[in-house]
Amino acid sequence: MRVTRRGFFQAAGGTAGAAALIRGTLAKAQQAGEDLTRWATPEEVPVPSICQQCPGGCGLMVRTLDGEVAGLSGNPLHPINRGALCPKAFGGLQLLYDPNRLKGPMARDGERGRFRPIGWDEALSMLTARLADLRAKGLSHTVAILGGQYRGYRDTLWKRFAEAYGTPNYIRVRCLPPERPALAHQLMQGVTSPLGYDLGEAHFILSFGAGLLEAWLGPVHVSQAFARLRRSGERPRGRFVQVDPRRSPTAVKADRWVPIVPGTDGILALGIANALIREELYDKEFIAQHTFGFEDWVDQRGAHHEGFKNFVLKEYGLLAVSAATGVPVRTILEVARDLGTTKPAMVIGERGTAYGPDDLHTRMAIHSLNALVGSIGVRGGLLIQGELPLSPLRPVQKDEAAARALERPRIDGAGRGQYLLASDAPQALPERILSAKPYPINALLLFATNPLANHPAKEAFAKAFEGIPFIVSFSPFLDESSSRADLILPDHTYLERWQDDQVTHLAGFTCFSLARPATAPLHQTRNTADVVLQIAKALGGTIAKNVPWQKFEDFLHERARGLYEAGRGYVASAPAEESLRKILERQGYWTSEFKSYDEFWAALGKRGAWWDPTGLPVSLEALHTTPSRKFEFYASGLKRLVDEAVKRDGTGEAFVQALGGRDRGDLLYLPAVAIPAVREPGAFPFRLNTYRLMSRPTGGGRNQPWLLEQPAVHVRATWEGWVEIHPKTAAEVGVKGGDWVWVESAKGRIRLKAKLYAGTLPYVIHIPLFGGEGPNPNDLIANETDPFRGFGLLNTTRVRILKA
Amino acid sequence: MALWGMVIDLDRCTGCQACVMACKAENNVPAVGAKEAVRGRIISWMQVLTEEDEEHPGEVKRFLPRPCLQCDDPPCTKVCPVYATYRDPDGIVAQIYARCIGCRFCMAACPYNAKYFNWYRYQKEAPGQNPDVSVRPKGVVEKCTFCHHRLQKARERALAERREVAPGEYVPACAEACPARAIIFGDLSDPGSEVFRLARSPRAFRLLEQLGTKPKVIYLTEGEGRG
Repeated sequence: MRVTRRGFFQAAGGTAGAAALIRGTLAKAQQAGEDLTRWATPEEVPVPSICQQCPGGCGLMVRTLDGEVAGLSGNPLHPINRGALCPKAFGGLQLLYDPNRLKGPMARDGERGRFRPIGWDEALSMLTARLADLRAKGLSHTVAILGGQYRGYRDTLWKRFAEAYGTPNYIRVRCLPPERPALAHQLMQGVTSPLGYDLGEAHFILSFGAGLLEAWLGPVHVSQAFARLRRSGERPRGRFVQVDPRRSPTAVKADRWVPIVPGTDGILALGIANALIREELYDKEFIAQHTFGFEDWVDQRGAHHEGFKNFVLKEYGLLAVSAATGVPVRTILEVARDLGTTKPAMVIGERGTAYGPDDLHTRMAIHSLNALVGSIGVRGGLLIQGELPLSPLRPVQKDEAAARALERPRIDGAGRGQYLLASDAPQALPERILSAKPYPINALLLFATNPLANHPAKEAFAKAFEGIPFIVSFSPFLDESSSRADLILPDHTYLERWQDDQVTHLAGFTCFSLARPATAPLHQTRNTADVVLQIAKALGGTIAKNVPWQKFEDFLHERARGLYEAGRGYVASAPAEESLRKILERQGYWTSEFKSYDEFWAALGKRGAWWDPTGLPVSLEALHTTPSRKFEFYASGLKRLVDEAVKRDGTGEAFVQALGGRDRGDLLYLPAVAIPAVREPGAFPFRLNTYRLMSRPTGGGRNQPWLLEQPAVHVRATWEGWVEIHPKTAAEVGVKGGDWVWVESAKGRIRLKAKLYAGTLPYVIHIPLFGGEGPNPNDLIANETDPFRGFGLLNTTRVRILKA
Repeated sequence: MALWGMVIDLDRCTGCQACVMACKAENNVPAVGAKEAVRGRIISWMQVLTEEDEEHPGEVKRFLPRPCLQCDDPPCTKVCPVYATYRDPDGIVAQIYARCIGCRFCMAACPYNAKYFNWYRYQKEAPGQNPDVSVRPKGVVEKCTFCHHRLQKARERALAERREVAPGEYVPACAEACPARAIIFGDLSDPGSEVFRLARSPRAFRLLEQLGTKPKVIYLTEGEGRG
């Protein structure tokens, strides 16, 4: 045993006497023991997990030392990211160890915003009692569950719970549901699952404002594809063109940046279509065999309808398009020629904020280019996302109370009237809660969402929250929304919990990720999925019967069995092993790597993902499930939907108005975007464009100092949001780089630092969505709604700038 | 003896900063805080620089990740009065924090601004840190070490198994994270390695080559060029 200096002093410091001496010896022995444990090499265990900082769902390998997290890297086996990560992933460490995390459940203490800590048992019984009481009174439909951005079985579980409990109001507050196909794809191709983009194999990509390399479907997956597009070694360097009001990092990396007046993307797409048709550069074979509505046609009743071709040639002359979009005629022609002569080429106009009030037609116009160049169902083009062969769940057995409650209309109005096509309409929600139409909300459950900060209608939400008698938040943090709650049941962060992820939009494969906890929970928090199971159990009756699992882990274990029994796909493994398996599978051999499901489950937990790289339905039949079994320029599916809604309950008329009004006739169902009249700038001369940064995770990431310190590289900024202004515009309003300015809209004003960036159209100013506290562009955004997606229009607000 | 080097393909680089954040997590580089950041004191061993477009002033044309370039003839080591920074036998320019007196001569000498000074005690022992890398005290200079601790680990492992360090066994955190696989790492003296081949590509160039610092971080230009 070594006598340490401290140990010696401790021993010597004791007063003389036997007792003291014994105490000293004990202290030394204890010290030595501590030293031994401290100096022993800790056991290093890598634990696979899933990054939840964005919808990309990259596989993580968490480095744990004696059960403590000591770093993370990409899971090299994971098919989505193959060991690579994006900057956000590393912020997960700071999220986990955020000193301001809630340490346990909290209950409101007096007025809203004041809390006292409580135990889990008390917290759960408070929630259960409230839910049981409402249900007993026949008011279960007045419970609303707001969910944020997450996928997979946590979503399934909430949905199932809502159904069994008896509320139609499980509402997701997010721009887009990635597990559903884009509306334009659904209407023009009839697909029911999302399309995948084979970016890496394409030779030419035309993107309409999609932040491919920043915040699109999954930054790592796309970056890897981008690298392959550029330098695969075997073929010429693929090219790509970015249409964007701003020279974003994606536009910097593109071969050509096409600046465009915000919201006019659809007009440009139709201008390009015009050039393609006029110069006969479109794929005639594909158009003739696989499309409907290109040429003029006559319906069953003998009425004549104008086809896409003549309509585009007539309405979208290049001069008019150029005037509306600000894109020179020459550029339109050059882009069209590139697009028409390079194969495979693909056109992207999915995700991202709405292009404008006529978002649906804009996206249809963009997607029609894919048909014109025949890039659907080909390598390097658009593929369809296969379904995961997970074990199906038994349908919910509703009792009478639940069945009755589920017949009520949803509080947000999604799926009806104006929001006929929207799966959720969070933008409309606060007003409807406030006006108690069609009924008042008595309890609100908030999971993984913070609408009081991150939603453009945040003030309306704040007001609506005041009137709700019981609000429960599952946030691990005391954020803007959870601080207004009556009860907080903090969730784990993602490195502490069992979870799965089901990412869609992958190029040619399906993937299921599984994560077990990388560390024991740091605080008295609980996996919300487990909490849902506990509540269901406590509520009893049919609810407990429909949600019978003890732990979320058991639920996942039961569902993943389907993967084992599917007789296809693999638990992710080393590339060499995988290529061998692929060769065998191509020859018709497939053998299971595992003898039993337990073995399979253990391997899944160790390697982090299951995937099926082959056997995708990329056939044109699978991609064209419209009424005509073809790609429809004239979306007959949409017409049918609208007609039915009008006939059924008369609520379709509001939707027709949103779509453009009856007087537009056939144009409602064609990819037709009206060319807007030139508007006088008025009191607010600039257009506000908000955008998502690569470095901002879901929820804002205010607690992640690394990301906050270096949020972007195209402007020098640190720790706080900024506004990008063109140097010319700045000179006009007398602002220099680094000055504080007020950005004012009709709704409000915020003070930001000005950054001069010439990569923009002069009269458009750009503010990144920074998230969390501090000046927030949501304070400016006018609450216009996109009726097709039920979300706010983020890029249509007009502003002015004043020096602060 | 291996000559560790890095090739960064600017055609693949998307300027996403994954390398920057991976480096921070791996090497316990702290955020310095809003006040210090505004004073230009951010510590970023790996930093993504931008180049302005000459044709369109005020716009960004190119992203350029810059670690310490690990010069074979480093200007920084020559000015250090206490031998705190030196070129080690593997060619990695090392920094001994305990020896550093904080004179910052090396910072002035480095033409690439790759060295950073701890004006305050930014780093504190905290959970989640990498135990393989020591946290730096106030008053010393620090910089990218090519994740030297990973080399040490790989070497120890190889030694225990009585073999040479295998190619690919030692990779710095930035190269490991890069989503576009723009950062390739390896032994520049091994004719079989990818970095050896790429360093001789017609697209290859070095930063401020004319200074004669002989950087071991080599860039590949964007554009159509082969290689």
